[in-house]
Amino acid sequence: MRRVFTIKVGGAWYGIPIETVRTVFRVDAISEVPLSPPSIAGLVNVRGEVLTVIHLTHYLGLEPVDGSGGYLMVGIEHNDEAFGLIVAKAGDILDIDEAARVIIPAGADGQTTAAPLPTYKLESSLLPILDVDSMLASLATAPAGRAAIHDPAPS
Amino acid sequence: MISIQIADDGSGIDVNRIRDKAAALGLADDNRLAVMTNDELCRCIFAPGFSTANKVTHVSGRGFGMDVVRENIESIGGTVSLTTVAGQGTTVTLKVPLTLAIIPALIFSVGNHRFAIPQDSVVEAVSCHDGDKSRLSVVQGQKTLRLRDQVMPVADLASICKVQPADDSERLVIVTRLGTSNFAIAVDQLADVQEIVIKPLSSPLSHLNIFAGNTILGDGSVVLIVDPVGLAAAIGLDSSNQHSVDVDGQADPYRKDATNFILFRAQGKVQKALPLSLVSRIEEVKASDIVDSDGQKFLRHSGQLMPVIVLAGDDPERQTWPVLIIGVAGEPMGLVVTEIIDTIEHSLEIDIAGRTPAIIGTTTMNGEVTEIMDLTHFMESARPDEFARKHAHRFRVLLVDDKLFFRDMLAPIIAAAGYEVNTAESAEAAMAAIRRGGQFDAILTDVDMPDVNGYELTHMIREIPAYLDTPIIAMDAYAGDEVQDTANRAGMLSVVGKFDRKLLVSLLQDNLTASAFRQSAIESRMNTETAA
Repeated sequence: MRRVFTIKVGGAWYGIPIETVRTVFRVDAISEVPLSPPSIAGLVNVRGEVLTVIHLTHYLGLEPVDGSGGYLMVGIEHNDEAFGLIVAKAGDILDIDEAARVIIPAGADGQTTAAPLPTYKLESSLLPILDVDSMLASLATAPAGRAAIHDPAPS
Repeated sequence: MISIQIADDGSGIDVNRIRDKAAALGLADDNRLAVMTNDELCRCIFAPGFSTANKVTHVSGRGFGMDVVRENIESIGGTVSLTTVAGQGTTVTLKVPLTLAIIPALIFSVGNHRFAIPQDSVVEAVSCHDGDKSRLSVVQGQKTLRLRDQVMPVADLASICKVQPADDSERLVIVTRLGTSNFAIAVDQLADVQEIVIKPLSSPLSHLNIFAGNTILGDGSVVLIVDPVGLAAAIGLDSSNQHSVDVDGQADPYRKDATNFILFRAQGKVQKALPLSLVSRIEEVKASDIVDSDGQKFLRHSGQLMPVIVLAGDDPERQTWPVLIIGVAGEPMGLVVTEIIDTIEHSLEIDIAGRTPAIIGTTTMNGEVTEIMDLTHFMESARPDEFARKHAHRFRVLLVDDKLFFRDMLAPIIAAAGYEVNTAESAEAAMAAIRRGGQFDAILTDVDMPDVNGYELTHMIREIPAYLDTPIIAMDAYAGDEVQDTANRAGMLSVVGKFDRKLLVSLLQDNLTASAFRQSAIESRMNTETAA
């Protein structure tokens, strides 16, 4: 069994390991960091703590979000550092059964290049789980977002 | 982060009561409460208004204590959490940041991005126009700044950061210290100087060398802190000669240290100098704001009249004049000069003693013969009352040190700063001078002297009623924390390193002005009481 928090990014739902999740909140604006990797949206102040904000859409290779109305974010903590993940919607806490794991073959759509995310079968949908660890590790070096399972990979 | 755990072996917290209270307060709905773990339930304890107490005492029960705890810890960037096991005990875990590095920083903007730069690195900020004093140009593909007689490379922050600069109308640069040389950073606007807490950038951003970290300003906004070393590297500057002269200086204790002077021109061909520490600020004023009244000149300034001495030659055509603003016993006065040349660090050596009252002596600075002005002469002229409050003499300082070398080195400096100096070669000699009726306004004493040391001397001096409040400053080769503590406990104001001329002069300045104020306050009270 694993417990995840579901978030909607772009048009699809993903799960994040619940241990990393701290808070869900809204901000009006983000302070950009010049020369930062493209998946990093910038920095934001939440109750006196500075969070590094991540464009999940960029990381997943999806359409960028329109930030004019502000952003909804999930605050996560990883290795004692605080990050904010920009999401379209925040969902629920779900308990996932390991038995519900489905295997998505790599390159099934003929266009994906990255290894697919672990995905679980829910009642009426599939839920990929984000690996926060490897996402943050790759951010400093990644030149462009990783391809998503659902959308065509950026060329 | 430091982790602090406080645990007891009591009966633990009854999580059922927490759950009930959470439900009653509507903190979460029943379904959620049912699945919450003990740790999650314990988090409810920190919610405002949360209390399971049946009655309220004068110290507890209202449900706000834990909220305040959580608020305070979070405000310094820490966290607090609680775990409990029924029948076994409860553990509270605090995590607080290890250091809070606070520095003063200059806030500036480039385009619509704001940045901070440590004030320590900032030499000055200059507005560049195509004038003769400061000029931006491009030399061999590198942007450079010519400022007075220095030429230095310029880091165009807008292009380095790939941000859109503001309209090019006024070019501002921040001259930044880098080891022994300087470079300039082109910016759009300066905001203000704030004390900021440096927080490091997170791992995905820590590779950006031009930023030293980030901070939260008073208005809640997050601002990046520029790292001068990283920025210099970005424009190809080698900062490896950062191991500056200071390091060598430590090895040679007899090297004459330097004081900051401001060089200027006034009437006459000879360049003039004043210790910079005596100057409050420099302003450019309109000629029309300088007025004559009752045989004296005044400057109309912020709705008040400030007495000024015009050192500059007359020039009816001229529209503006630079003025050095100086404080006399808390009251400002100005020196109108012809031209500010530069500020310079120079050792205080007087080659020829002055013969006219306005000049302390003559020396060579920047290769030019320079007259070091006697500020007290002008103070006496411009602010005679405030000056007279010092009982018709300059502030008098007693310098006590058993080594002739230090007496000879420090006395001229204190004199050049505008004080009358007497020296004593021992605590005994010092007490003799005091008992003889010498009225000293401040005492500077070596800590480490044979027979009677500086602390014991302080005790002896404090026993004399007139000297209860007199500033006594200790001098030591090494002004570390322990020496500071011992000095404070002995009744001394502070400890100054013997080679720290700047601090010495500024301590004297700060304390002698303040005590003059106090004196005049007592005086005016006495006068009104007598009158009544």
